[in-house]
Amino acid sequence: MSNAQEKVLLVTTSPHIRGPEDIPRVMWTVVGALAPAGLVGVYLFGYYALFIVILSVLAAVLTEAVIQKYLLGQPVSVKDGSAVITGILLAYILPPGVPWYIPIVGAIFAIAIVKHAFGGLGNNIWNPALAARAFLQVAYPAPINSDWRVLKQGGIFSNITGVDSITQASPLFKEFGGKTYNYTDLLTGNVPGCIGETSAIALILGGLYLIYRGYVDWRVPAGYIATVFILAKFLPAKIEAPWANDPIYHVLAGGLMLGAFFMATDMVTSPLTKKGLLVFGIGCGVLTTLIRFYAAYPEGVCYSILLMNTATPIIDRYTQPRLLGQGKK
Amino acid sequence: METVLAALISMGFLGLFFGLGLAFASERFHVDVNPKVEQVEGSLPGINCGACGYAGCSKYAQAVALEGVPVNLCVPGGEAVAEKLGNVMGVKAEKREKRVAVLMCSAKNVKDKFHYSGVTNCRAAFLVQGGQKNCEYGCLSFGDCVVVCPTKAIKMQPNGLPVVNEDLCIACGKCAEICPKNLYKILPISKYVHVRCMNLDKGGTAKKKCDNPCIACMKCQKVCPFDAIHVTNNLAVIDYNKCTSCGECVKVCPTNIIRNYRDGRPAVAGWVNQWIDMAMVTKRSPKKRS
Amino acid sequence: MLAGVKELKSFNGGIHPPFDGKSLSKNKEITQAPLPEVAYLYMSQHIGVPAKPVVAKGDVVKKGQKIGEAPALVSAHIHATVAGKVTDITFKPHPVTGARTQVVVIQREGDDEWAPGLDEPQDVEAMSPDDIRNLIREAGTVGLGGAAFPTHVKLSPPKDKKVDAVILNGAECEPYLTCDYRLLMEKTKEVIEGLKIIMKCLGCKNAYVGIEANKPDAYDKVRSAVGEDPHIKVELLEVKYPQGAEHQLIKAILGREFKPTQLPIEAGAVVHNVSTTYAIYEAVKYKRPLIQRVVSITGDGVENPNNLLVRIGTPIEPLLKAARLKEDANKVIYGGPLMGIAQPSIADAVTVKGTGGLLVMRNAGEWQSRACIRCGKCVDACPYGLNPSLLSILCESEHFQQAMEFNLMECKECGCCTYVCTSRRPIVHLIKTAKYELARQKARAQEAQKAKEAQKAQAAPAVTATAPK
Repeated sequence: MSNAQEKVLLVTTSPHIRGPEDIPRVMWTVVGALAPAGLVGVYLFGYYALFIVILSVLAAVLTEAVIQKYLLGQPVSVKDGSAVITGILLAYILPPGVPWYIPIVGAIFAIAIVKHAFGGLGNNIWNPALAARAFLQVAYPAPINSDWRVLKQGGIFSNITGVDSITQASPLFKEFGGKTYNYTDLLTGNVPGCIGETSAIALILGGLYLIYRGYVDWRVPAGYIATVFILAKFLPAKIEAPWANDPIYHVLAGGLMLGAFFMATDMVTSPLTKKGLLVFGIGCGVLTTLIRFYAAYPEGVCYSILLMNTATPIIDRYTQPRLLGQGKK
Repeated sequence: METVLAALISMGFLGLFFGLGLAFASERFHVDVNPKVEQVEGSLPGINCGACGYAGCSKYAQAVALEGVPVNLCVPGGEAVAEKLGNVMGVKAEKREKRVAVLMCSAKNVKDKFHYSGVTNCRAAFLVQGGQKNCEYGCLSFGDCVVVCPTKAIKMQPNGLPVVNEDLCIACGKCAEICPKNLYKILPISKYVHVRCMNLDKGGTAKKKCDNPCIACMKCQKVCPFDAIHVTNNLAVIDYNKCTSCGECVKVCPTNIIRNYRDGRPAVAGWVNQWIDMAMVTKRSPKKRS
Repeated sequence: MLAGVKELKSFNGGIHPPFDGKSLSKNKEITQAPLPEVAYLYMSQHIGVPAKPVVAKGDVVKKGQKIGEAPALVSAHIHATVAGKVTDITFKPHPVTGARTQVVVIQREGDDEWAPGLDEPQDVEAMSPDDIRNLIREAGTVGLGGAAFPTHVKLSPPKDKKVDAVILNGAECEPYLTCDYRLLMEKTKEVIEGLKIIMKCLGCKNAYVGIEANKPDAYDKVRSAVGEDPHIKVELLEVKYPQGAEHQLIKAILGREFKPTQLPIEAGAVVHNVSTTYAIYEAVKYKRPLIQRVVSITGDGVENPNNLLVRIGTPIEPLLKAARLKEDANKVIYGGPLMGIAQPSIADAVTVKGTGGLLVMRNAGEWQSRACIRCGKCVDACPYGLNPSLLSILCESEHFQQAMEFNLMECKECGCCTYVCTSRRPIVHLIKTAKYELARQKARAQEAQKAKEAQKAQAAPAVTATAPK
């Protein structure tokens, strides 16, 4: 047949079209949804908080680029934004007054050890930011656990030592003498805490946007928050604080909102199916409440999500989707 | 002193306790294994290559010891292992010739029919309109055989054709199984003249697609003194039972697809053959075209 | 339409691409394509055993003359689609399977005349179900939705299975394609007539017509054509792919479920799409074999998308040229964008019975696959309740046996998972490769079993010269 200038066609298997969502789009949208909480954090804690966030993101991105280029010889995929998210999330769960090297060490640990040592994006077992936070908590207990401060708009690079800062107890400080905050302050974020976790309202806004876009399944935050709410109401508390059995306080204070909307919903480390996600959310809620009520740490979000990350494969195994026509009702 | 003593005593008791437990368990849950099976398995190389046709060395050992399967099937072990097994089983090991995998394609300048995009292995590409190459019989060059080869005997050349290192090849047949175009044949090493083409197209059509096709010119069939080569379905096929690798057909083949691997030399070290083969692929192509 | 949202019937999972491309050729009336100078008729244009040629090189054939005889029940006859001379019987790569398939080449000659005994009005009323079935079998009718399953087999349900619903599939859920829609609009009466023939053949009282909600005009037309008939219900369905797949259609209309590997007969239903039903009408009412069908030529790669009545075996090059193929078109697909089959070249491809559309794409994309990020979108999108994420990972790492345990074989390759995949993984391709590999392993195992038995029969441990397995 005719050979004259025959077109070279592209041949692939079906399907020949793809949906609009891809990894960069998902990741950068999450970055956008995280922005409000960060803005509140910077407003409350000063430019040093912004400095910490930038340091953390830069360290995460650079680590990823270096590992992919020189260690693994893969194409560098920092543009997809997943390392940026890890950097931001890590900074958000650090106290605003941490020394500058803490976010760098944490970001390197998150990307190099938690993410790429397990095979890179998609293969990590734990949420890199949370695992790094757990690592920092053990490696640098003093700055991580004690610097709960409210900084009022210091200089750009000024460390806590130079600024007139007020040291206050965390809202979840369990021992006698902890301060109780009112709901308005907890909602707006006008309380001591980590950089990105204080403002419940900013986090809820970002989270709801992600649910609207379909990147986050509502079952995880809903299951998580509802479980904490119910358990906090009815479990006998061993805390000598006035808010011990106040469910609203439990839901608003600490890192629960950030954890429920942005950490537990991390696609890679949470189950696949809707049923599994609900189980996952509830599990996180149970563990968080147990840690808050009966363990030494004031906050349980970080460890509860890490533990549930570990349980994800087993949740997946028991929540496989139902084959059409099998075991019908 | 007291603590040391306490430690020693407690550890000692623990050791005794567990030791007794293990001893009891090994008696109590003992599984009878035919001693012959164990002996046979002990003589096998234990690399579980599957070349014998059984799923691993222990399965073959069972087959030898219990079912009386021939003892000379272990390819990596060769004659030495066959002899050992023969001694164990009390039979004489028949000599079995080393066999190797041969790629029946010598594609040269085969252009792509279309631009393929998708999973990058031969089988996946084969599922998309039979593969991207113009010659629908030839090698797809994604190297599934290279990946599957347990002894790393197959290497991909820059020209997109894999080459088999005969020294390393254990004739396990995995490459023959995985190749979607069925281009590999497992043949005795003494047969070293092959028609390295699978193209069933008519001469002219075949020639358009590839510089080295079988054009079914019948010259080899006419020249063969042993009536071992026949052209059927536009392709010359060698009957290896009759072929003596004399190389007459090699001399007349106009497209150089019938090739003597060793140019009449006796079997030499694999790397020499490999070197010759690579040299032939790069050198011995008709230059009339340009 | 908004008022009826609540009543739209649907199924779980599925996708809806934001641009469904129907507007390109939706309003183009069906026109007769120019007859091909040379028709290439593959002997395998259906699922099942290939037909055997019953003509020889040099024979003169009339239009509609049988040139390929079905050698088995699950097979279909092939008819000459133009009058002319058989110039060659050879082998060519099949446009759908890619395998070398026997093909009869007919050079068009003389008048476009029907073979004797064909194209005569029949008395449908007087026919028995077996007569209808025979006529359909003789006409070589196959499912024209793409899978090309022989229709007479679908119309011969096993004795122990009862069919209580015939469904006319007017969903046409694949984006871009409009051939069924045009038929529904222009041949409404004939299609409904065809549906009644199917009902008569199966002895089934109830029938349903399923139409996606984005075709309200077709819905109205069918409604009025059905009239007061209480046995035919016309249903409006949610606009969602794969609404027109048998499982989803039956789930949406009848609420019954059956396994992906089972046939609709398990749910007591038989599904035929519009094109097939029209072909059945033609075959039974006028004794016309299946020699032509409506093909949508569409996509952004042609300037003039249209719907043509095309003889089967027509080379696509003139069809595309007539639709003014654009210079930068780089992909030609038989069928829709989600299950269609990309063609290796424009010059060599000819239409087959299952070709309902020629989709020409410009700037067709290539995608860089990455590791699964477990977003779970594929699990939500899979209309068959599989776990495509897990399957793709198992298939990629060649753990085929484990993949089998997770229902690999139940996958119908509809492409929803791959469409939504955020990591751009070629899930369908991986699954196809796995199925192919498993089929080969099975064939090898059977061969080995046979060889073993043969060896035992000989009782002599002969050392063979072939591969050990």
